[in-house]
Amino acid sequence: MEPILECRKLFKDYTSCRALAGVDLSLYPGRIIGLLGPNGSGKSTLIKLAAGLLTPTSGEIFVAGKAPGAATKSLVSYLPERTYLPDWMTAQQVIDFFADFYADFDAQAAGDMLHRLNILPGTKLKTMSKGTKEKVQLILVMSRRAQLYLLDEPIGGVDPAARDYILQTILTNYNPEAAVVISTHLIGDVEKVLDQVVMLQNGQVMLCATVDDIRAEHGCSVDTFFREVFKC
Amino acid sequence: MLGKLLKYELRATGRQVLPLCGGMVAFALLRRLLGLLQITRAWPGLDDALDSLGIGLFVLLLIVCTAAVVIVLIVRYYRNLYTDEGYLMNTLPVSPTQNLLAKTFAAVIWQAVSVLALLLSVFISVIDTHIWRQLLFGLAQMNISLQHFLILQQGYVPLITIETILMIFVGAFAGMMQFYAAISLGQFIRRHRVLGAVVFYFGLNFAFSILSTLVMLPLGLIGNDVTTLNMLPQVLALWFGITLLLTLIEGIVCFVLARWCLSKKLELE
Amino acid sequence: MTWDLKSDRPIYLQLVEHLQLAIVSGRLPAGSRVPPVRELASQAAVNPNTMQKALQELEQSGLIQTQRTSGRIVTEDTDRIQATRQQLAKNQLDAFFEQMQRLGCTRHEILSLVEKELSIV
Repeated sequence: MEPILECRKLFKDYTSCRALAGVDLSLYPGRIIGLLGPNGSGKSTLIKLAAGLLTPTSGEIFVAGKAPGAATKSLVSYLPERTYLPDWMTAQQVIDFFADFYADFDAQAAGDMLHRLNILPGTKLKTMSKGTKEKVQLILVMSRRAQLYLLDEPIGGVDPAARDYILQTILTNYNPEAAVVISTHLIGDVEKVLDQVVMLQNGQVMLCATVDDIRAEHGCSVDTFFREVFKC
Repeated sequence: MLGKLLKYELRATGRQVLPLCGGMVAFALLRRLLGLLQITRAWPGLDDALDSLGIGLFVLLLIVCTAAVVIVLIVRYYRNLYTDEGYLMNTLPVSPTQNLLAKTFAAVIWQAVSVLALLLSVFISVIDTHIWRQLLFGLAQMNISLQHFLILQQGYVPLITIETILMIFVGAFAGMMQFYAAISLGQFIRRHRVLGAVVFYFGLNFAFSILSTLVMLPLGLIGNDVTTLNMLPQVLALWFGITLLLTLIEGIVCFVLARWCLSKKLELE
Repeated sequence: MTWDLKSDRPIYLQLVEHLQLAIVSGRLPAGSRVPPVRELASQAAVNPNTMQKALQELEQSGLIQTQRTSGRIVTEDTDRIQATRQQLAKNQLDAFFEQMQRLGCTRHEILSLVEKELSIV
């Protein structure tokens, strides 16, 4: 099976620091992968490189065997940490926008999810609370039938009920031919949903294993293990 | 894809551009209406002052609105590609060229619309007034002189007309392209992106001025020769043509620069 | 049924235990249809692959069978279910006895304590 995301000796430098220091990674379809690490370990950078928003300093990154570009972007569904939708649009207009540009977008599913959350299609994004906007973004991203989902800190500043909703949405939209990468530093809630975890530290892959293997080997949750490893 | 991008581009920027253009025309209509109703007669003595104030405000509004349209387009480029919205636009399954072209086309279209709105506003203001009659008279005079002057070379009038119209579009294209390139290049100055854009803008301006001077210098020298006076229409057409070509090249160079920045050097943080 | 999953043991093992319990206690009756993997995973809020692994383990132990056309069903082999029940009960007893011995109780003490508890219940 071909990896859906592959990194070979990937380096990314910013003017003030080195974000990725030689990452070698292969992720395969059909898995839900957690990208874990403390702040500044390079999680966001890695995701942005895969999404095509950054260019590597050296090394290579491949999505479905190709370098990030217009072709890979049609296979990748990316949820950034920030609100990135034009404020002046309504929820329905954003759905139409996605339907227009992405052939794999399921507008029906998106509309249903909006309905279930009691968000009126005619509501302008400008008038929504931050939490609601984030839910709309999640709905859009998960309504795509993509091959690689990149979710950057989807449960970060969200209340526990919303967190459950997000994880439920990820599970119900699970597709055995796609890979879902979730970057987070809140492991506890997410652990049970993950197949495997990739732990980053100082821009390098420290560990790549399945959740159950870590639990079996260390006799504790991945969350506990993480705290041990990254103790200050 | 390009069509879709253009559609959204026009829709997003139209929200701000159309009211500005509409405002110009509306104000012209209002002024004309008030003028017809001779409303200033209500305050005798202040007649002329109010009239002048009206004209002053009108001209100011025209300038502000036309400039505002250009500003809207520049800000759109920056905001849509380089701030939060950039996370959306740069992950769409389109090439940077398509993104850039969509914005360029939209910019040229809106600039043309704003010029039309401007002309319409002026037209509304002056039609059938003494200014209008003076203008028509002046144009007639100019036509006679021009015909007399070009009596031997009539074929060149349509050419120069075409070149003038083309110049408006190419000028709009190159002008906007210069802003786009400057903004994209300004991104390299990490901590002072806006300042960087300003610096690059003036840098590009300077570079192109030097280029134009270098190219036009030989032409200017030719123009001093007495024999060319008989060939004036040809020289005029040539001069126009070369300026047109130069502007087009400037626009293309800026396009290539902006495209390079967007595809190879995108660093959204 | 609420899935109470502890954080220090492999998830799939806990899923296996939970499903075994459901089967032996009759909540998932013999011969009944097992909900599809996705549904179970969603209920338990776990990864579908992990749930799949758990179900495969139960298939290997014979408690669940896959039918070509209608998915998975709980086995109709009541003897097998009984045997599993006995095994699980024995596991509980083993753990109980180990605990009681750590408390320092003798066999006689254990028996009388159990009888006393059972007479109350």
